[in-house]
Amino acid sequence: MENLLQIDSIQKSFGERKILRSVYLESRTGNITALLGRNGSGKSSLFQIVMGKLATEDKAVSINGQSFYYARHPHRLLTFLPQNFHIPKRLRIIQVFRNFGLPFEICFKKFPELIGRKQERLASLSSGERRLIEVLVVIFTQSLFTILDEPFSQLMPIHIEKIKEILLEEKKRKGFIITDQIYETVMDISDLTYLLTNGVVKSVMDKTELIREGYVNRL
Amino acid sequence: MIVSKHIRQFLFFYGNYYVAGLAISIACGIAVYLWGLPLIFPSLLLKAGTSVLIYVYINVNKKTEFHYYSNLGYSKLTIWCGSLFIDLVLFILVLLLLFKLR
Repeated sequence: MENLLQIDSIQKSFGERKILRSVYLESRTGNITALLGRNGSGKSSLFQIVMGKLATEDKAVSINGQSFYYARHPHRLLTFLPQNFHIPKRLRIIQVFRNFGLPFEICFKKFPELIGRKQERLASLSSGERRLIEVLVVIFTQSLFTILDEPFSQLMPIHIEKIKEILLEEKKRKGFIITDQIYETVMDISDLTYLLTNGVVKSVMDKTELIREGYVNRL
Repeated sequence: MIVSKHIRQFLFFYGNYYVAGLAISIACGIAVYLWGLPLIFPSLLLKAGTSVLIYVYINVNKKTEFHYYSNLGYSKLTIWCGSLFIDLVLFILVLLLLFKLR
């Protein structure tokens, strides 16, 4: 079944500065939606608003036409990977996967080097390894949609390639919204690309539009 | 099974502040042990006041961890209610135990 996530009428001001003006975004099952934007353009604030963690003047988030905020089990509809580490570092890798009901061996099929380390606590991992665990958990968790804020930051290139493959595989069962400053990586796998600039979201058809909008200097 | 899963998550979250929570409960228990019933009400006030401080401290310092609980299906309110309930039960048990020993 195809599901539709619509994020509409999002507005946000910090004092006099209006960072989001009536933003509209959508995602569907089978799609990876990319959201690009300069640092400080409001991407993370937008996601915090969608998740209900940041108050705003106006917002409407619906899944298949029904308001997300009135859902009885919102975590089954929408999961979120924040920019910063969010899984408590006291947990062991295996505990994290057990808590989410995820089969460890399947999730780590592409990362055999980590299988033997499943009893280690997150605190003992490097930043890149810890980020990898968090990204995998959020991608594999059962939900209709997943928002990933900077999933590729701190990951090494080979892991980025493997995460891209996993995303392309997992999008068959859910929709993803991704933002990351490594725009080429994100655009490689995205079906829809949006650029957030001056508080407004614009649809981007190809990379040359990014130059016109002043997001990059050259390709 | 589901109940034990919830309790496990509440206990894990309680792990963020159990040292402070238990230390205050034991201090209140000792006060009640030494000076008796008149100290019950001040102990309750102390426990409530320190719980507010702990709440603010954790909300500031463990802000991003709430996303983990949210992905698991626990809102901030739920996870706080669950862990504060455990803290309250332990507080009452400590008071009762030390009062009985008096």
